[in-house]
Amino acid sequence: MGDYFKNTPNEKGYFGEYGGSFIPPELQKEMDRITDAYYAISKSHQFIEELRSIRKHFQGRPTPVYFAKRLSNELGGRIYLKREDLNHTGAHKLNHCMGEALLAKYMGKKKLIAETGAGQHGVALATAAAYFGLECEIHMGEVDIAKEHPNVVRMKILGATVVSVTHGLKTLKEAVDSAFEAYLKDPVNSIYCIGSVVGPHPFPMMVRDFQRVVGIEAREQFLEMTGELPDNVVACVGGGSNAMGMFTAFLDDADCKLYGVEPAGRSTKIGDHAATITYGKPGIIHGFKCYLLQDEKGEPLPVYSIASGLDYPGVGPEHSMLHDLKKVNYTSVTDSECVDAFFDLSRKEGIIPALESSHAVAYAMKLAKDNPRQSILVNLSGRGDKDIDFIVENYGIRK
Amino acid sequence: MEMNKKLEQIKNKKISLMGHIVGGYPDVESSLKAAKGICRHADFIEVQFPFSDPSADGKVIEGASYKAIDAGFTVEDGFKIVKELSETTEAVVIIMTYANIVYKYGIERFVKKAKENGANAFIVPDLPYGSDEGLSETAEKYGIGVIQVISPGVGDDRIKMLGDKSYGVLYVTARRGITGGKTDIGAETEEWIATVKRNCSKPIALGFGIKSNSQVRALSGKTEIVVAGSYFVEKITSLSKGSDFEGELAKAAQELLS
Repeated sequence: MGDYFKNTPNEKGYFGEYGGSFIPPELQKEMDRITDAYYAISKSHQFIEELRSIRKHFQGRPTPVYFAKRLSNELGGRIYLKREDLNHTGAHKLNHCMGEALLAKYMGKKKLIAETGAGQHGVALATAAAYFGLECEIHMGEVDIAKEHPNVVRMKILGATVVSVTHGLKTLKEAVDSAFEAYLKDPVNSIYCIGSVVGPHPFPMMVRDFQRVVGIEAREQFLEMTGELPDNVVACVGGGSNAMGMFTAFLDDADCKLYGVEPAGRSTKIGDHAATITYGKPGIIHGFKCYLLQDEKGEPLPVYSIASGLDYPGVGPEHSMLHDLKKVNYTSVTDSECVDAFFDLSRKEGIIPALESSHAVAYAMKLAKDNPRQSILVNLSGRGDKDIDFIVENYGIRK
Repeated sequence: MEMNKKLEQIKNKKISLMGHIVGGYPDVESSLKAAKGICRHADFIEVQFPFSDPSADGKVIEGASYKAIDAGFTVEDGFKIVKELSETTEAVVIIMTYANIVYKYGIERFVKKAKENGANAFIVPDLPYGSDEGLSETAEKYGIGVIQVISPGVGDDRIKMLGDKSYGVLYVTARRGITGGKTDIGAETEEWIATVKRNCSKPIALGFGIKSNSQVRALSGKTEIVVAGSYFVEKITSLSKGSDFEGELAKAAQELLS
């Protein structure tokens, strides 16, 4: 295991054949600086202690593992939830945002810059910036700003500047370009904080490392509660940060089956899903190599998911590698299965899950039905308050 | 024309032009004609194979890329344009594109096809030397090469290394960021050119934001080649269907050098 983290990624940022750094030299120079700083600083006793204290006192960690008794009784099987919805700000995202912001502080940076799609990463980063007294600039497509009003307001209340991106399709892709451009204008005083285990090296490694706390806690808690390891571990995968945090703790446990759940959306047609590993082929996008939903010419395909945090045509490079190595089973659930799980968990356990996390819950419910004797640990990566208006508008309140 | 032969030919020229078109914009035929027009005055021509996420490009080229892709542009269309240009003009034909277009097609297959159709070099901003999936090596095997791109902020060592690896010329951006924005050719640009010159003996092609003959004049004698991309794409945009793309773009190229 120790070897796994030492060699994965390798010194050039490759996870097997995936990852790497496909960026122009001037950007490479800045990424090298961040990589060097990360290695030098994040291993120091002081950094580790400070992050540990933040996790405990500010984020409210460790988050509990909870046995979903009523749901389990109904389905068979034993379903356990790692309650990342109880992490401060209501999702796992804050784990890496606090890490990235702490690194920024140690590097003497004054400003955090990032893109956001639905606003979840933006809110988490704005929270981290407020905690450390750093400036925060979030780039967001004009279309998304109109759609995600509450998150825009939250970011502003937290003191962040929200930059509206008005060119191209005015969504996440343009927001990434805009944020990188802003970062390159002042790489000395600012740092780019990516929102998942994607992008050029060192981000997939760094974000994974900051998310590992989820899996480390959960494995220990599960052992303590049950005296054994889970038979199955399930997490949803968009870019894949919450899943990476969870899976890395179980890679050596041969009897633990790992499941990454991708969004199968409305149908298997192009543009109706974002099941990258299920339907994609290796490609290069946004500075790294990974499984990519693309056409025969190499153009990234349009993607869709009911959960806006999962609709990305690429996926983390480490997931791509783990798929090839058959260490993780990548599977998918549809929008409608996701919505069923959303209501089931709300009604039977009193927990409203994020639509992203509902994908993992839906798959866990299938597993539970098929394997009544087995235990299933689900990463409940976020709470669903943000999704309630959308659900009620489109699906009503189910009886 | 072959790179080395061209470099010999322009040795005594005050300044040479590298033009740029987006293949398939507004359609394959018109983009080819526009390129032919530019090549009446340009010694180098970049044919961009459009990609939907052109991270080094600004609004103008990005917009043209979207339209070309929507119109159904294929890599084979690109090779057709390249072939025609290499057979009918004196310019060095350069394929400019992004990593995934080449990667998806297959690096060796792409290079081989490019060579067969008369392309002489590649510019792929997100496949820099050292992280290029073997593009440079493969191109070399086929007797062509990859032009490396550098921007302000790159250190001396890296300029030396990339200058050394770059094929024929080194592509130098006048400023950071993306194509199309305005660039003032002032003391800062001159200092940057001087830095590059100190570390690289190859001719340099300076680009990003070159849109007027006064800029070109200001660069004359300081850099061997000047690159104009968005300038030409904007001209193409201003023409309606059925226009004389070749004649109009030839005029635009001439104006830039006047």
